[in-house]
Amino acid sequence: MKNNFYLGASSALVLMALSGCNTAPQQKIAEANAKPTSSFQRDHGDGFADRYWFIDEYDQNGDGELSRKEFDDARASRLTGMDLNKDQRIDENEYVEEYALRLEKQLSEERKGQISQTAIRFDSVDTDKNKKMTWAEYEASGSRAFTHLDKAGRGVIDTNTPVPEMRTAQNENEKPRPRSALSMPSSHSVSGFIAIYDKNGDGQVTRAEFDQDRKNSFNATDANKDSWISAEEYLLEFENRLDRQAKNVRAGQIKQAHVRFGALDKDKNDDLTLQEFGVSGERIFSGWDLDKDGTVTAKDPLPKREHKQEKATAAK
Amino acid sequence: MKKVLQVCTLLMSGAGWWCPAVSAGEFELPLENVSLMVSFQAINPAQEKQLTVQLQQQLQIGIEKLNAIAAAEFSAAKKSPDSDLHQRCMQWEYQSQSAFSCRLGDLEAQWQQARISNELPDRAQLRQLAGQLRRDDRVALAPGIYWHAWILDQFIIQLGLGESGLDELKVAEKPRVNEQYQNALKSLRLRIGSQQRCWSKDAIAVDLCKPVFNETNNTFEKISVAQFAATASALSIIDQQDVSFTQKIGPYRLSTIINPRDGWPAEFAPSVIVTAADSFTATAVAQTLVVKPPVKGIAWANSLAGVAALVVDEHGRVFATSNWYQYIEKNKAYGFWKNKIPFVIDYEIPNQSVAEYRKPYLALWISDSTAKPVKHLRLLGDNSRWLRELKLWWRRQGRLDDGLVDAISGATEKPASYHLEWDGRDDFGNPLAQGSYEFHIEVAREHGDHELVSIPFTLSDQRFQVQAKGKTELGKVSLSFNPGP
Repeated sequence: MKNNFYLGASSALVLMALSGCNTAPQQKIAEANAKPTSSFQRDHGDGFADRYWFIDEYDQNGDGELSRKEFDDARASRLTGMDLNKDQRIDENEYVEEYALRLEKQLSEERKGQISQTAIRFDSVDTDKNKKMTWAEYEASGSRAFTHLDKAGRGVIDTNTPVPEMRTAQNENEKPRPRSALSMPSSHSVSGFIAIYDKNGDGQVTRAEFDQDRKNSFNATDANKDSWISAEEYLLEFENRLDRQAKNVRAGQIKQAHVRFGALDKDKNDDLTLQEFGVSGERIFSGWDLDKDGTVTAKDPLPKREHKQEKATAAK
Repeated sequence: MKKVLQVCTLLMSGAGWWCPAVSAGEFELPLENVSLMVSFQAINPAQEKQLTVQLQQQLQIGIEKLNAIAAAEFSAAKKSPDSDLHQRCMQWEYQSQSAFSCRLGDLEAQWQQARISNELPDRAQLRQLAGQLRRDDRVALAPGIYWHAWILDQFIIQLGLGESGLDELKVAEKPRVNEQYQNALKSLRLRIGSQQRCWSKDAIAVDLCKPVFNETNNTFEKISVAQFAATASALSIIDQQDVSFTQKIGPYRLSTIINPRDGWPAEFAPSVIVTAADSFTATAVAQTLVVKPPVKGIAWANSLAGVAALVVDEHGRVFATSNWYQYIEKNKAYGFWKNKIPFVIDYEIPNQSVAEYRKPYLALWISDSTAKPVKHLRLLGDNSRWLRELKLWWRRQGRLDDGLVDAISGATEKPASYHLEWDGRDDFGNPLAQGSYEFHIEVAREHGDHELVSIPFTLSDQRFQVQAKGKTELGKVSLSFNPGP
C-alpha cells in the first residue's frame, strides 16, 4: 500500500543521520511510542511516526503523500458524515458522537490485538507447556521481569533505574507502530513497571512489594481456586483490566472531544460550520507541511511543537 | 464485569431482606414476579389469618384489573405521546440527559440475540445504533424495568396506602383497604419484579451487598446502609452483586442495565439505592445513577425534589445525596458527634491578572495519621494529565486508580470563595474515629503555580477553628468544627 513511502522514509532517515541529529531515529521512535495519545495527538504530533499516521488517515489515493486537496476533501467529507440527522448543522453531540464512534472502532481493533498477544504471553509463562500456569511459573516470569530492569541488582525499581534499550529495534522500512488509544502500561519500561506495581504510592517498587503484588495477582486470577491459572482465567483477568482501561480512556477522550468542539465553534452557536472546521484544518495541515509545497510527505522537516505535555521519562 | 459468578448469599436466603421480620409469611400471588409480605401487630392468629386472606383477595382483584389497565396503557404509550406513561418516559429521558431511556427495544433485541448465540455483539455497531435510537423521536417505548415500577404505583393507589403522584387511575371502582387493616397492619411489602414498596410502622432496614468478596466466608458481605422511617416511599435498589441484574454471554457476566448512551451494559458500575415518592421516579433515577459517574450522578440527584440516593462504587466508596443521612437512625448517624453540625471548610481561590487564565486544578482531601487519604472532598479538573500536577495528591492517591478520577472529578471553577460542609464520614461511608487527621488543599494552575496548604487537626468532642493562608494560588483557608453540647 505504501511502497513509495518506505523508500521515502529510509531516505528521510539517512538525511537525518547525515545532518547530525542528536537523537538517533530509534530513540526518537522509542520516545514517540512511549507516549500515549489520541487522534488529536496524531494531527498535532511531531515525530515521524505521528506524521506517518497523519498522512495515512487522510490519504485518499494511497500514495503515501498528502496533498492539500486530499486533506481538504477528506475533512469536508468527514464533516458531512457528522451531520447525522441531516439538518445541515453539526452540533456538539454530533461532533462528539462521530469522534466516539471512531474511537470505539480503534479500541475494538486494539483489543483484538491485545487479546491475541495474551495467548502468546500465556504460552511463554507456561514453560512446561501443560496449559496450567502454576505459581512457580508465574513467579519465575515475574522474577525475570524484575531483574531485567534491575540490572544493577539494587532490589528496587525507582527513578534511578536506567531506561532499558528497546527490545526490538524499529526497522526503518517497517510501518511505525500505531499510537495506542488504550495505552496499557507495560512492565518492560521503568515508568510502566512503577505504574503497575507501586501500590503504596511511594514512587518505587521494592522486591518485597513486587513479590507480594504478584502473589495477590496470582490468587485473584485463579478464579476457581484450584491453585493454577488456566488460559481462560488468564484471558478473563486481562480482559477485565483492558476493559477497565478502555472505560477510563473513553471517558477522558470524550470529555476532550467536547472541549475541542468548544474551541472549534468560534462563534459559539452550537453549529460547526465548514469554515470553522476549515480554519482548524488549515492549522493542522500547515503544521506538517513545513516546506510549504502544498503536500505533506516524508521529505518535510519534522515540526518542533510547543508541547504542553511533559516528555514521558522514567524520572518524575 | 466479568467475574466468576458469586452470588450474594443473602438473596438465596430469600424473604425479609428489605423489610423487618414478619410474623406472617410471604405469599406469592398468581402473577409472575409479584410477591406480597405482610405483618400485623397484636392481633390473635384467627384475625391475622382472616385479614391476610382478605388482603390477598383484595390484591388479586386489583391485579386482574391492573392487567387490563396495564395492557391498554402500554399499547397506548407505544403509539401515543399523550399517554401518561409516554410522557413520564420522555420527561425522564430528557431530565437524565439520555442516561435513562424507555426506548431501547432494538438494543435489548441485540442483547437477547447475544444471550442465545453466546457471543458479544460488535461494540462500535451498538454505539451507532444507540445514537440512532436517541435521535429518532419516532422510536417507540419498549418493555423494561420501568413497567414494573408503573404497575406498582397503580397498585399502591388502589390499596390506599400512599400517594403515588400519578394521574387518576382508569378504573370503574377503587377497592380500598378495609379500615381494619390499616390499624392492624404493621408492615407490608409489595414487590413487583425488582421494584418494591414498603409500608411499616417500624423502621425499615435497607441493605446492600458489599462489593468486596469475603474469601473466608465465601460470600459477599452485607453493608447495612439505612434504616428508613416508616414510609410508603418507593424504593429502587440496583445491587451489582445481585444475580438478577446480570446476564451471561459466553464466559462473561454482564449487567442487564444497558447504558442508553452507548448500547453496552453498564461496566464496573456502582450499586444504587434510591427512594422517591413513587416507583417510576425511583427506578428512573436509580438506572441513571448506575450509568453516570458517581459524583456527577449525585450532584444531579441533589437537584431533584423528593429524591434521596446512595451510590456505592465497586471499591465500596459511598456517595450520598445531602438528604440521605436523615434516614439513618439517630444513634448511628455521626459516630461520636452528638449532633449533625458538620465540619465546615472555607477556602478562597484568588483572582489572577494574567492574559490567558485557566481555572486551576484542585484537590481537597483529608488524610489520617499515616498520611493515607481517607476522604476525598473535592477533585476539580477532568484531565488526568493535569491532575498529575497536583503532586502530593497524585502521589498519594491519583496514580493508584484512574477509575477514581472519573468517578469523583468535576469541572474546574473560577476564582471565588467556597464553602464546604463535611459530615465526618470517610469515602466508604463510615464515621471517622476520634484522633489526628490532616486536611489538604492542593492547587495547580496552567502557566501558574502549584500550591499546597495542609492543616493538621484532631477530631474529638472539642470544638476548634483554624485558619491558614496560601501565597499565590490560594487565599484564606479555614476549618471549623463544632460537635455540639
